[in-house]
Amino acid sequence: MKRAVVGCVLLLVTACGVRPSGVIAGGAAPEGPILAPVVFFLVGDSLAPAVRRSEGVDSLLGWLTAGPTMRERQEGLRSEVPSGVTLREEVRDGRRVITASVDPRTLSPLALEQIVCTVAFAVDGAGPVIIAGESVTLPPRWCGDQRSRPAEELPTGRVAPR
Amino acid sequence: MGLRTRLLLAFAALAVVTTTITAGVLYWRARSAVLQATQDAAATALTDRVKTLLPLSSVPPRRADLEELVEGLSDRGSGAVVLFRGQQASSGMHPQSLPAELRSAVRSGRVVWQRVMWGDTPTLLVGTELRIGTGMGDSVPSGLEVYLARDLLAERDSIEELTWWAGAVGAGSLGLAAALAWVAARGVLRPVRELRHAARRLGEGDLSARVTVRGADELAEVGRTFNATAQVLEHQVNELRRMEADARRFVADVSHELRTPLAAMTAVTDVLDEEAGDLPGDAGRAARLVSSETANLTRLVNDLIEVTRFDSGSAALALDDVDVAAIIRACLRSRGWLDQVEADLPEGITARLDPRRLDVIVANLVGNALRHGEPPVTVRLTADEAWVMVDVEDSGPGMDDAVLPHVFDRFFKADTARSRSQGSGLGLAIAWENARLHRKGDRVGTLTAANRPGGGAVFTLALPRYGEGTGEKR
Repeated sequence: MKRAVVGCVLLLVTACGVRPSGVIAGGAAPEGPILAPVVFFLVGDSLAPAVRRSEGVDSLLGWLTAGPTMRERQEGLRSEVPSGVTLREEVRDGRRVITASVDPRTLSPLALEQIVCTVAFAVDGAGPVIIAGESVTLPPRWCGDQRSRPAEELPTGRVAPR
Repeated sequence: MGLRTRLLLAFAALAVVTTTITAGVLYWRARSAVLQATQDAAATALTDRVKTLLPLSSVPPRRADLEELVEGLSDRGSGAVVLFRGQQASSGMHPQSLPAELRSAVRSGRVVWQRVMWGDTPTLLVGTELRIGTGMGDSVPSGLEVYLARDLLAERDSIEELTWWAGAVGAGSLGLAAALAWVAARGVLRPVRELRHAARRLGEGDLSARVTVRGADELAEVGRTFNATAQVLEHQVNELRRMEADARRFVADVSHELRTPLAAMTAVTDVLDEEAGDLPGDAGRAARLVSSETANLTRLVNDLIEVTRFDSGSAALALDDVDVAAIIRACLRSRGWLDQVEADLPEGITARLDPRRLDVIVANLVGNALRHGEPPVTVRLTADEAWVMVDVEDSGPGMDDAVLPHVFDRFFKADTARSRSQGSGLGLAIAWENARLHRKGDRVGTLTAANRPGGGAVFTLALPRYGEGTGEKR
């Protein structure tokens, strides 16, 4: 009884007024298409788009392996795709395959992500992207695939309408 | 703790608990709803505004687009910040004031918000990061973070109003509960009080005491039982009184009926006494025996008649202003006791009392002392403002402690071995009743018996000095 009363009083006191809160997550962030051709570098561990005046997948893959410009580096961009690697678009058995000059298993997951997203954004309706080397072929991947990455744990609030 | 207090406390506790829970839950829900609505509105405003940038034409966005976005957002709140890698545009707030945890949560791809206190102002911060996608499920962050700040002053005011109302409703219901408890307690306590008064009256001898029974609850049942009990009690006590009165009347009737034949017998024995001397032997002794027993019987019957007068309440005082010493001396002289008794009778003590009854009392006390005690017998008269006291002492062995409480009982014989004595066994009882007849206000005449420290019994008569002419009524 006494504990219940104390609990009620505590609840009342802590529930009074407008108090600071932790971070509450709502609905999904707004999302939309980008009209300019982009390659994807990294800021920290997340992808960051960079616009290139270029047409065609191979050309963009070239920009990707070339790395961020000096100004972009100053802004904090970096790349995990090694600069010596060449990437080429091929069509094998009716499927789009990106062939790397090195064993793709030596590439870091973030580097693979950079390649997959650059291709996905360069081609309308690209679908899953396959990366292959001389002798190995990796399974198809989606760009920024939420299904292959664990969602970050956050307290969930009510989902805000979009 | 009284019933009233307990009821009040119980009702108050009930009211406090119920009100606290009800008002608390309602308050909590209302507060959540107010904040939720504000947060949802802010989040919608933010996402709607950010979506005007879409489709994105370049990364980084043009400076003018960012400025326009910030302006549009700050119209809807108290401040806005747009961040893109190194660049920033802000209005109404500084980008440094954004909490680090909110900034890291923004990168989760959700709209996030947080309430913070900026000084005394509660503020809601909503943030999100614009994402770019191919429309095929591919989605990556664009690096453009947008934050909107909105003060919660209006919400705080309405929540404080809610608090005030919750408090007011709580206090009001507490008062209402107290009033209800008071009414309920009165409803319970009134029959209880009536029952208590009736029980007290019954205990004081008013057998007609009853309670008014209302309703059909447990208390009414108690009242009904009480009434039934009191009725039975009254009936039985009345029956006992009637039987006692019958018995007394019977004794009185018998005594009266015996008087007439006894008068005739006394006349005959008077003649026999005169002739007894001439009668020879046994006939003379028989005649004297009949004569003395007839005298004893006559005394017994007279005493019985006297007692029945006391019992029936018809004994009345005949008050007179008298010289007490003179009355006592006359009493002793008429019975021939003057030379057997040491009388200490100061002159000049006058009192208002019944001289005949004083005579009866003194005669009984002195006669008793002469019969059962040893000489010398002393009669001492004293008086003060309020009382006249007569002590009659003898020099015998005194009375047994077991006997003392019963010496004024009727037909009580201290010496059981002596079954017959000259007394009727009613003398001291009659003296006691006579003493009690004298009263003045709440002072009542008393007759007490005790043993003197040096041996011998002492009977003390105390009469109010100026009695009132009221006969005893029963």
